[in-house]
Amino acid sequence: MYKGYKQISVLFVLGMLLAACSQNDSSSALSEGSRTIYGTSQKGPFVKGTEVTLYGMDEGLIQTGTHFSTEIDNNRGEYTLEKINLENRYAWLVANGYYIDEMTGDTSTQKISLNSLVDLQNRDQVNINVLTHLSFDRIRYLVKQGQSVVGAKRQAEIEVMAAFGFSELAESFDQLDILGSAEGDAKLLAISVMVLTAANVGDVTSRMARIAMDLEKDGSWDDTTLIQQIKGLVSMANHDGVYKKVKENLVKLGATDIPDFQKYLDKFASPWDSTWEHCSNENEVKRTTHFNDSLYSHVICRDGIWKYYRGPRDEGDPPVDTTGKYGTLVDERDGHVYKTLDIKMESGRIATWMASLLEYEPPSGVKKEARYVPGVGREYFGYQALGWPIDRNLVSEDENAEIWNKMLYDEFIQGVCPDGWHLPYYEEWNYLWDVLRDDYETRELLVYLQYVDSGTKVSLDTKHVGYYVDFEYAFSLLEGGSPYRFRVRNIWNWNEDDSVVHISEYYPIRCVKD
Amino acid sequence: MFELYNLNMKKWLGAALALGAMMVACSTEMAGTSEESEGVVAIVDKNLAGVVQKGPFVTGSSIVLKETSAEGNFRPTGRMFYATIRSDSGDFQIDGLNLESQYVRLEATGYYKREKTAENSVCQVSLRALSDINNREQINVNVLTHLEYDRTLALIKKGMSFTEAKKQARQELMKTFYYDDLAEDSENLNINNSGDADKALKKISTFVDHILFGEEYGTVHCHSRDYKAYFTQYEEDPEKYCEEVQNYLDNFADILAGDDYERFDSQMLHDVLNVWFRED
Repeated sequence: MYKGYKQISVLFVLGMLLAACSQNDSSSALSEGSRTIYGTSQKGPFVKGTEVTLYGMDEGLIQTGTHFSTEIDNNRGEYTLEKINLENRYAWLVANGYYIDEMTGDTSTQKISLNSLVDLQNRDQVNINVLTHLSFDRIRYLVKQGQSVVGAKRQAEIEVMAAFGFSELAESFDQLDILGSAEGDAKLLAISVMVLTAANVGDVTSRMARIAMDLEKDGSWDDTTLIQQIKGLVSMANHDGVYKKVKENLVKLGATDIPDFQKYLDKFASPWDSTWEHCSNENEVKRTTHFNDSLYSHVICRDGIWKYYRGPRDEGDPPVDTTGKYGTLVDERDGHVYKTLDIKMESGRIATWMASLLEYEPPSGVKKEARYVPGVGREYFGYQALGWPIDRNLVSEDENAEIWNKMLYDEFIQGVCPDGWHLPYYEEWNYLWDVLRDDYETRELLVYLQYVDSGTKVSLDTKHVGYYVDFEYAFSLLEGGSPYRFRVRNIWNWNEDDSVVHISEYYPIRCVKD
Repeated sequence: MFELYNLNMKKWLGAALALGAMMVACSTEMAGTSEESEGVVAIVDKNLAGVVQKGPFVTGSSIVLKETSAEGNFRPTGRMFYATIRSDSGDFQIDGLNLESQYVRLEATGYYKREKTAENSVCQVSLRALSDINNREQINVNVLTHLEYDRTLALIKKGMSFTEAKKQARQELMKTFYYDDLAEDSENLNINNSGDADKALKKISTFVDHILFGEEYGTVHCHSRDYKAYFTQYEEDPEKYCEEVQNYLDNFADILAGDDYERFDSQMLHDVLNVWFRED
């Protein structure tokens, strides 16, 4: 049947050629019967300048050569192809461009290309999205095997849903919308952010292609390595609260009624295989080689699910009891509340440390380069940390001499700290370092738990690609203010031998009580 | 290699222009002498496959085949056929082609695996190719097909046959890079093969990658500004940056296509290419 059809199609195509000799590049000369095809194109929504092209296809999904293209003129991914004349009902729709990243809310830094195989009989509105893209190769393969396009499309859509562990949808993939409110839209959105949970678009593109091609021949997703990798990444991102931002971003994009897509992410991410069953010992830490990466060497049991862990505990270390461990510091200047932790020094004196990083915004303003993550901490320009103006030229000889003098006699330097608190001086850092080296409990109390508490609040005002950067960004800031890197952060000892210290750089600050 | 960093783009382009002019000057006698037009044949039900390589284009990249007129003048008819790259080696396949002429234009667009870093290029690039597909099922798109594209069309416009034009464009191009004519159609070459022509393609591809994105930071080193300026610009406006990269690549091909550039000094390009291509 297929072969016979092909011959007819050749004749048909030749006929078309004669008819279309004078046809222009992207618009038809015929006006009668011409129609308008429209819809949305979404990884996240494609932005202005994205090219959407429609290539005509026959019943065997062989291209006819007919094509129409348009450039998107809005940032909602909406495209309109006008004056379309097609000799067949099927078409290959392609969108290539930058898109709004659902996870960061920013425009992607790299372009992406998505396919959609559409049936235009009795239908003018067709969308392009991650699911149309993932089902594309499978549909084409089934048709090559002799199936009708309609049947192939239906089968492929059921199979793609099953590959992600979801039940089939009532509507066709090309009718779904990530800003929509139906269950199908929620599934699309979940899968859309799943494939996006990666470092860069090259990865996203090849990852989608790998899935699509894996599904092509047998309709099942067999690449367990990739499945585990994505499940691992989704699980980690879930843990870091990254997907919470998706909702905010969708509202900004105009969504009014966002369905529960989180449940589909949860369903996909866990449990992922026999070793990754739900866990029962809350806060238990164990080693894993799953991510094949020393940075991701441990997992922790949280809310009954194994999640990625980057704290100081090793397998077997019992959870750290926080009861009664923390004190409180209220910064009178801005009302900010910080946890504090008492550490007993060798001399017997108790040093009370801030258990998180200072966030106070000094009246002299902040430098553009200084990083700030609400709930995590702020970086201060070295001069500013010492309580001086941002501009070094404004520091008087007297001020300079005073600081030097204080350092010389080991007096407290308040710097940017609240009244009654000071920048940690050399012995305090040194001693803390000694304590932390062998004491994972204090390390967890001072560094890791603070990250867990604030990890869900990470937000960025600069452009970054993917959630990884968000995560690393917050964590590096946090570690920067931790004793792990205290040597380079020991800014008030710039007269020490340590040549890596510069007061004209940026530092996160923890204060110690006088 | 270090001279390259200090090159001012205009000078570099100028140098390329000049060199192009020299080569063209040598060969102008040939142009326009042939009025012979090769027979145009229709293509029926052909399956075409190949690889797209700057470095290899990554999976999901795209390629468009444009049908050209039955008059044999390479004018596009407006019919187009689309395919995607289906592996990280740059493979593509277009099935069931029915065309009024065996002459086709191809244009591939995508990110590619960089030779030096094995990472994806930060910009999508487009590479083109011209070919006669009558006797072929395999056609590759690469830096050489791209750089000879404009020149071939220009020569055809002057009255040369496709075969002659393609040959001359190829010879000129290879000469630019200090190679003897390799007598192999550029669309037959593959950077993973080990023939002399394949090796030449690989080296020229790596060179172009270096020109476009530099060693580390995704930068156009041979522009007058330093890499940091370009890096920042990429971060601020990736779209504009990537446009510049593509323009640069196209300008290169465009320059090689022209005739009249004697006012430029060719020494600069000479030096650059010398470093890259004369050591062997």
